[in-house]
Amino acid sequence: MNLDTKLNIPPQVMSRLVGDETVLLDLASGIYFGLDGVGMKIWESVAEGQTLAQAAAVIVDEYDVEEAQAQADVLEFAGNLVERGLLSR
Amino acid sequence: MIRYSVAPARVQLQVDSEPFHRFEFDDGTVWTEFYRTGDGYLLRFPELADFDVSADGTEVVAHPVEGTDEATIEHLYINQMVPLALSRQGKPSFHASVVTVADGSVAFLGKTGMGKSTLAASFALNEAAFLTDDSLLIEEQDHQCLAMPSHASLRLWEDSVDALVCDDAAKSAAISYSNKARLLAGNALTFNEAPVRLLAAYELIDNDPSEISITPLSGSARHMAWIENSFLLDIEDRDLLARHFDWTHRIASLVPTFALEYVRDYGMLADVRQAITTHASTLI
Repeated sequence: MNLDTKLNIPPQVMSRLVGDETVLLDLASGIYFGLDGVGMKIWESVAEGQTLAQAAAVIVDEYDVEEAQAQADVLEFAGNLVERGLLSR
Repeated sequence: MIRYSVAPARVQLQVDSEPFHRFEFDDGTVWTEFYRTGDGYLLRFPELADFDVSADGTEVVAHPVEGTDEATIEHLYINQMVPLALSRQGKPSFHASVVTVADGSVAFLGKTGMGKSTLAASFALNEAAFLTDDSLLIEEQDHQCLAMPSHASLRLWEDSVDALVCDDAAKSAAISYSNKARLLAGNALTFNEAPVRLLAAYELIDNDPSEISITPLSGSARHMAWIENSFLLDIEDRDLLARHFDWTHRIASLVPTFALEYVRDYGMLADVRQAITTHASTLI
């Protein structure tokens, strides 16, 4: 996985927005997962079909963070969600 | 609707399959085991009773263990089986007590031991009424959530009964596995038989606070509060999980949901009631 990667939301994963946060449900495992702030921005970017580099650019635009840091954070966060089965390649 | 019947007592024979889910007490003792059968489910309460539930949740048959009294079977049916069976009918209930407040009602969400029943009894003994002790069914009407009344009784530990001065409330027969008293609604303990608009829900938190505090839950915490306090019989049924996820999302969007912290001191209950009443009044 790198910054050019486009990830997908697996069909068994549902997401619902409440207020300015999102809850994910993996129907396969029955596991729920809450996203807020930066995590939600990355999720929205992935849902729109953007690359991880584009997701990082959104973070740079909206938060006071260096591009390199944002890219590292996005890669780490996306890797976590892939590991949990909440995103797929 | 549920068709309910009680079969003759029988021995709890070993089940061929492994349970797909179980409820356990904090000390690891099994409270309920959930098995799949050819045409539905078997729920086992070790040494007390088995219950067969049809796949669609419309039929429940109790099979008591020899020596389990009627009051215990009735209690297990009302408090455990009805909400679980209703979840198979697409009508999930929530672990919550509900009381009337300020021309509406409020729910107290929380697991066993968080104080839901004590708080509900405190209201119902003091010019309010309760709609349910621990099984909240919600219906939506005109973009509002209605709390539906359930069984007209409350279960309390004896120290709560004594502290709240429930002497005038009628008690039902004792049940074999719990020291809690079941208080029946009546003149002393007021019950509301009609659906009431749900103004708010308060998730009971016990962090040993120094004062009463009511704080809004964030979006995901609000949704999770409803999910985590749900009665669901089959947690592996994807269609049911998906519908439930949408329903809890809907409720979390419609019902303002808060964290409620207060000192667990019977002497403080009047202040807690006042704080909730004042807070709920601002939500009308």
